[in-house]
Amino acid sequence: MLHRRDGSRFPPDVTLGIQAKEFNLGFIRPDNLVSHGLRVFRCLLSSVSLFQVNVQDALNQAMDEELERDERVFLLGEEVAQYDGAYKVSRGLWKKYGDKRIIDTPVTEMGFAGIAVGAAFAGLRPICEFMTWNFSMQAIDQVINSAKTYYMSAGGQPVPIVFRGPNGSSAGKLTNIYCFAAWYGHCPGLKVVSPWNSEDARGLLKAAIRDDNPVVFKANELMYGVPFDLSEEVMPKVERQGAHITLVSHSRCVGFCLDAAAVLAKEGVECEVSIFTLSARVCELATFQLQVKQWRRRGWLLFLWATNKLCYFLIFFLHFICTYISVSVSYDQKELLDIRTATTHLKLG
Amino acid sequence: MPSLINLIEEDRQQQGGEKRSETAGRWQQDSMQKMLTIISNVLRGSASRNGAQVVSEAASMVVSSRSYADFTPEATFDIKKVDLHRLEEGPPLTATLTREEGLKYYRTMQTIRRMELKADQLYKQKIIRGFCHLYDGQEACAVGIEGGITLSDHLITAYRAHGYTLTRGGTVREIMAELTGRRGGIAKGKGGSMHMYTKNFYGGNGIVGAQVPLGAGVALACKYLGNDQLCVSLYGDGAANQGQIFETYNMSSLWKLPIIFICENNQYGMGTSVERSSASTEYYKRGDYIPGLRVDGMDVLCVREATKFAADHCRSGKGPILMELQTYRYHGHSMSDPGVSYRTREEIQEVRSKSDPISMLKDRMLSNNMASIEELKEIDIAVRKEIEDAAQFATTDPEPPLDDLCSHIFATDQPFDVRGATPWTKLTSTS
Repeated sequence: MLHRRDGSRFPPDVTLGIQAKEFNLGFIRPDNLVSHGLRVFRCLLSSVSLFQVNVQDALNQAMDEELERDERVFLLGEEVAQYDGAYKVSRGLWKKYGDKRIIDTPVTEMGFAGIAVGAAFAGLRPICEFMTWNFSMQAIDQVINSAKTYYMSAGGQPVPIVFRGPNGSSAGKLTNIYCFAAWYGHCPGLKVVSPWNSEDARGLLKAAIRDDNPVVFKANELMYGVPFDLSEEVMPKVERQGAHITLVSHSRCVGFCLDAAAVLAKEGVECEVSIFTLSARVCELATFQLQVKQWRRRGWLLFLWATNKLCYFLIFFLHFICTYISVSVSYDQKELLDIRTATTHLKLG
Repeated sequence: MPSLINLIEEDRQQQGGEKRSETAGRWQQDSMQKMLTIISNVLRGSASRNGAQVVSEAASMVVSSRSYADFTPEATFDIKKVDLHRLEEGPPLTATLTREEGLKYYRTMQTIRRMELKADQLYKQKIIRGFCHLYDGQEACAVGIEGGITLSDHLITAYRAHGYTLTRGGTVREIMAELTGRRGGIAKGKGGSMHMYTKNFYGGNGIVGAQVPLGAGVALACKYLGNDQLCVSLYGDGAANQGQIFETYNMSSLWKLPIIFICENNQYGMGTSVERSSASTEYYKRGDYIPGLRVDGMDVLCVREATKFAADHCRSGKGPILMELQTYRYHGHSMSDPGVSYRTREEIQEVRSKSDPISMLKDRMLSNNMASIEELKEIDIAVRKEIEDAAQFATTDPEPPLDDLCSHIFATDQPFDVRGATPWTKLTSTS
């Protein structure tokens, strides 16, 4: 539960100052980045005090509110009920809502993912939790083919389902640490979201549950325990302002970009860090247009098979660019230098 | 002989206007009439009757009830005993069929048969393309199941779905137009053979076995919403070995979901016979802790009674139940399969002559004087005409417009641009 610093409770839907409706799960375009930022800014101004909430609690709050709001919403997955969630994301929900709405399943991903999709066919709004997205490989057919039904029935059969779980790297592990954003991002009809901080996590989960489409919601296990302090100057879509380079990232690597930006700032390079793939549609990268200012160069950081060492590589790489490569950018043509970095293509586990 | 038959007809016409009473003398007259009817039918020698049928009819009783018409309004038939697994009692050994029901089943089965044959024809003319899995031979399954449940119950099946689309409320026009991919189709031409949807019918699913957990999800929704509905989840003998089906058995049994699993065992999974694919061909026992029935899937009454029994089982909260329908498909697996490389033509012919579901129903009705041969012929002609009209519509209806290519990607969304085949082509998607 979210609390103000003085201990009183934040009323639901005003928490974080962000309404779920502020998040449109359509593709983020430059023309609405600024207006979106302004809307958020306005909402933030209305919140009266600072508070800290970590991502795990933010997701918990989102699910709690949606379960309360709509009788048709229910949660199923491994260990979501009596264990309070494998990563404690669903803590307290079973005690509050009971066996009917918070369902523990056996360790049979394909079976329960299919059951969740079937329940969505019949009018319920399930949240299907995978313990990690690696286990969703067992059920990938059900996830992907849930997306085809609305199209192939020509609009007759919507599938309002959310698949949730932690994605990507964890601490000290060699298996169960893959990132599947790109895999699912390739599927037409499936919305893929990969938030970084608490407010995005909460808002997007609420929007995902209310959306009539299948949504793949990827959190990151290491972010669960990280608290975020909201102040009035935060612009959620652009985390840090800078004029020289734009770093665009998603999920946990946004944190790496911020670290890299801090290091580079000492060198005199100002980086703008922006969260691009709240909607991780890889195929839209080609059409994504950022506002290009003169002399701006852009490096992309994609979160694929990520390791911790990457941030050092990134700093070195960007330093190299700034020092040794000068790029002439024509203002009219909006030519961009895209440098995509990802981790070494090693198959682990 | 003809004069004897005429005498019987005259006699019946004379008595036609009188009210029936329960006097002993009257009963004797009825049974005499019944006996003479049977004799006259045997002597008339209706075509392609199997031996078992004649014997069972000789043993059947005509239930007397009020009627002024020439036809018997209702008759009770003996049906084959059902094999049971983990059940003390099974469905009854007799089934009552009324004249209206009989004519309805006959018409529906004949419609499915002719529709599939027409689809075969259109496929060979390349008017239907892509996948086409035909259901002829298995009509009794679709019609019998629908006879045991209501339209407010739910049903999901695999790709051999044309028959079920019809019994679940689709029209022949819509189905055929969907097969030819035209805008008048049941999914506006975007789904094709394997993706037809109607109310409470969830397709049409291409991935073998994936429809079974989907069906359990629908059953979960029925239980969740407390609406006393159930879900029938069908799969074939080929799919019966899929792991996700066993996962579904486990969860549906654990949570006591109102689901009827039905295995349509048509003896061949594509080209692999059941002996070559399954270590245990007793599919009704595969549910282990789930009670099972093995039913003759070529007899529509058998299927109907078993489905009613299974539906009662589910609705009483006892949880899932499994039915194996032993049936047969005359066509190959799909239109690209001639169907004779893994089985003999003689086998197909034998099944066609001995256990064809439509012939079986027809013989039953004729020999019990529930319908005349002319009436059934009229139904045949009407069905043929309906199919011809539908085929005509399906051939001449225009294809969906190009704007539809990207529509219905997302539900209730604002229109957005979709990347076309090249990065600079843009198409608009509407919900």
